[in-house]
Amino acid sequence: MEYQKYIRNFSIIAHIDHGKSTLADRIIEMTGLVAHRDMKEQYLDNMDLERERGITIKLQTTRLMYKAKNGQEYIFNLIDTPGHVDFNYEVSRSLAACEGAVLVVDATQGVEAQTLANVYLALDENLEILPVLNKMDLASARPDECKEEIEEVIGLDASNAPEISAKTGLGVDELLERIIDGVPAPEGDVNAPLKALIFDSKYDNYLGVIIYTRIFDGSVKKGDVIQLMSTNKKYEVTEVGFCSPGLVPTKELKAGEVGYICGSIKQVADARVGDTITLASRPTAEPLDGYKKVQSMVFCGIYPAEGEKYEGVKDALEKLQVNDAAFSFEPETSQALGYGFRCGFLGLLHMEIIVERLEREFDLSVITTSPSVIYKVIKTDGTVEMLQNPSNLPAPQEIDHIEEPMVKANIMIPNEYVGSIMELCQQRRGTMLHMEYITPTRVQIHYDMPLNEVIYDFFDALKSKTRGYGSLEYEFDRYEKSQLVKLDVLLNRDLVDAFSMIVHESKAYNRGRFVCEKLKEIIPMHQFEVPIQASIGQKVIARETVRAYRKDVIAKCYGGDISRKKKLLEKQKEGKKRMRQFGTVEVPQEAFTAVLKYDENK
Amino acid sequence: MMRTNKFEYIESRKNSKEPLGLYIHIPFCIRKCPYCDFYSIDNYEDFRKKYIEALIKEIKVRASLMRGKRLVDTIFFGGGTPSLLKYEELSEIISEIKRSFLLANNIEISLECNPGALSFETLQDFKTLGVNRISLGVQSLNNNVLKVLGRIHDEDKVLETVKLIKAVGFQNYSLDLMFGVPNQTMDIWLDTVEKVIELSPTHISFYSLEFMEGTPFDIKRQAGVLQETSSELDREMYHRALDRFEEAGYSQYEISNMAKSENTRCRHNLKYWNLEEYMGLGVSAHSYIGGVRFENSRNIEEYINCINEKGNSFIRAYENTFEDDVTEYVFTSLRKNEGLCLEDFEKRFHIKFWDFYDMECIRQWESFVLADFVVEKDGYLRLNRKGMDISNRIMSIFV
Repeated sequence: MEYQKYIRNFSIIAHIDHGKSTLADRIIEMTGLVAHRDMKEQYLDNMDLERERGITIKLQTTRLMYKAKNGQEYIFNLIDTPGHVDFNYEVSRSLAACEGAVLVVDATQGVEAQTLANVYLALDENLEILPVLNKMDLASARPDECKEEIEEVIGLDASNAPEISAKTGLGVDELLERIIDGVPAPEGDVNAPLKALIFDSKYDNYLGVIIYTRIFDGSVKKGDVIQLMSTNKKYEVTEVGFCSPGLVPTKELKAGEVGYICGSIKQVADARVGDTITLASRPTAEPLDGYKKVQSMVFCGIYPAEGEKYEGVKDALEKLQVNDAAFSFEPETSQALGYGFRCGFLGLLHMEIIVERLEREFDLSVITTSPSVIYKVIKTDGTVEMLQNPSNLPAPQEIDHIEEPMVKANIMIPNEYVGSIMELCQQRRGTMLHMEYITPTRVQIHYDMPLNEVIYDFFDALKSKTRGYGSLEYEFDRYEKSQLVKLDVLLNRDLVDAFSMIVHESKAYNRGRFVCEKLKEIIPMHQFEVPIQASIGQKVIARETVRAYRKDVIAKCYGGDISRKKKLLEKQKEGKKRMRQFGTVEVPQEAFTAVLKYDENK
Repeated sequence: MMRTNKFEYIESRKNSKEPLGLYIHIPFCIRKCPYCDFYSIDNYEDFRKKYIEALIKEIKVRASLMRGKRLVDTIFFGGGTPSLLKYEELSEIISEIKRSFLLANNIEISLECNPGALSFETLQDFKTLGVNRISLGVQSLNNNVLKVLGRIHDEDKVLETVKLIKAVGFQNYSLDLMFGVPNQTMDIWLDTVEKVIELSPTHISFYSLEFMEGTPFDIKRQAGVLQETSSELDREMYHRALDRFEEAGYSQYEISNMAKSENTRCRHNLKYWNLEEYMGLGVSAHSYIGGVRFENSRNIEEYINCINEKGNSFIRAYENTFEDDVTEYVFTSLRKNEGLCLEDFEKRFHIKFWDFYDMECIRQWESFVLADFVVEKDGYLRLNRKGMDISNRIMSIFV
């Protein structure tokens, strides 16, 4: 169809920090959508948190008008993709909405694990891939080597890849022209029944859920009754439009176009990414391929901190869930922490983001317990229990065996780090499947690893051991029988259930010792000695002691500066407020996260 | 009920007729000690004339703003090094105080002296001008410790100065000491303690060295050059000194202070711990008057300019709320051995002590009672020796 000739739907894919968001900014600026002075840095990353971490979590999509050198105006739909391993599925659905992808490779770094992972996702969707070399303004850029890597590793012809600098704008005009030639125009029958893909959704207080969609066939307009094919739920369309990047209502969306649909949908869980939209009155025969309901992989308890209200946390979690279909929660109780929630996440980063949002956006103070994966507990009576919370592990005599989730992990590193990373993976119970040299200096190692080992601090350890050059990508593979035990922590001889974790038998001693040492650093001195013990069942496997305090006094109190002394005392009191009382022992709230953090020296 | 009490209290606070204490800051030092964070300068010759003029003006202006001439019963010259004042300078300051205030017959006039900068004549001058209490910054009677502390005097100089103080006829003088100094062993400390007992001052102050933020000492500590004394040794030094001084006839009346008799306690400092009124004059001085806490500029040039322009150099004035007064009264009272008198508290604030605080507070206090850190007896709350070691922790219950 004629109008489709002038549309290009594409994504930018890249490894973290290779300049995806900067390039998006530059493209937006150069197509004249936003004046340079109005640009917040990295326009597409619109959550503060994202900007701070330099990663894109939630997708943004933008329609741009580009006047090509041949004088013709084109519509560019730039569909942003989330940039982290936890959000693979969302990436794949965004890519499914495109015909092409611009593959950004940092010319100073070369191909990374995530570059590859994203390329494979793009190839799965049969996208045309345009490689570009970024950061050409840097002296350390080595474009020829990178092109070679792209050709060898990915098998793409990179000889004509534009060499650009998203930061300075160098070469970006050439890239824009290349998009017109290199990315196919969309196809699709505007007269066929509606078939549209949900590639993102978010909740808005006024509009309800906003569905971001790519129309493959047919058209949709205000007043139509749409049907979501995974649930068969029906909604009347209240508005359609495109993102510019603000919402601009339009009359209709047609095959080949990208835009949004609103229909008074109450929560994003009802408009799941990957689902197919059709018309209730004239449904399409088959939904689009590739829909799957995302599963939480990592769980942890979230509890209101001292002085925080349960209801406040519940409200906030509900609000977050409305906007995040991958996040789930249900009430639970802990002997140590009282009433709280067991929450499910895609991965550890997803968990950290949710916790930070609770703190920043909702101004709540929460305690998170050790993250855990879902264990499959096969009981002696033959029943199977999916265990999310380590404290709920049945008594040993009731357990036949426990199975844990295994992942396939791909790790890409410069070859000088192979030794230390193999050692790390071995420590984390990984089994090497194979290893390949991508280039003489870059290596990809494939491991079979328990997810449990990946979620604690593996990524931090990998980054730390490779000076930031290592990259990781993993996916769930299967459940496997394993020798797992429950590790408990006792403070002054009282068990604190919130610290309990399930670990492999071989790791229990190290883990126990590490946790005791960490807690010793963090728990302040008390009036009495506080023994910290780690135990498996009745057996204590590690022990540390916090000494009783001896001195805490301001010797001098003269010159009339009472206010300063008072402030000091007030600060001390504040510090105490942030403590959590467990039996007789006061524990600072950061203790819960500190015992999980990677420590180079331990 | 409560509201009226508070209101009455705040109103009555504004018209106190109780005698006032004056604190006068003399920011001159020959050399700044590396652990000290009180305000002082070593190029004081450039400023001394202007500073004394400003100080006199501040006394005049601030006295004139009070309702009627206030009675003053303590004056404390602190520093810096007030003993660097010349006869004429001190004379002018005291004359201005006499013009601006009424002086109590039994007035206590303390002056901090540095053994490194004191002569017989100077001491005589001070006595002639009415100074009747000397506080001598001895710190230690071990030359190595004095060196670590960066002091300009040595042991002999101290012994000599104490002789002069006695010769001039000061009946009441205090020696200031420091323990927990890097490389100061228990033996070295106890030796100083014995020598001090030998000198037989009427008052002794002794502090555990604190590494105050921003001081050269603190920077050296962070760099690992200076070692902080372990809390075990620090406390043992404190307890041993207390024992020895008690045996020698001194009795402790505040965490860091002991006196030979009730008459030789420092009445000026007691005002801080009793939440009584004092006017702080000079650069960086603090005041508590009419329920308001004032703070003067911490920069001598700014101080002088402000005084000349507008008669004060306040950089902060904060009116304490009823609650502020209560909590400050409580934690400063607990610094004293006598502790907090429940009856005095009630008289002052028109509320029962335990009605002011909540259950959690009572629970925490009780836990310290049970663990034998504090005592509640005969209508007083007080910290025992063990409690004084961790006084911050206990006081913080009440703030």
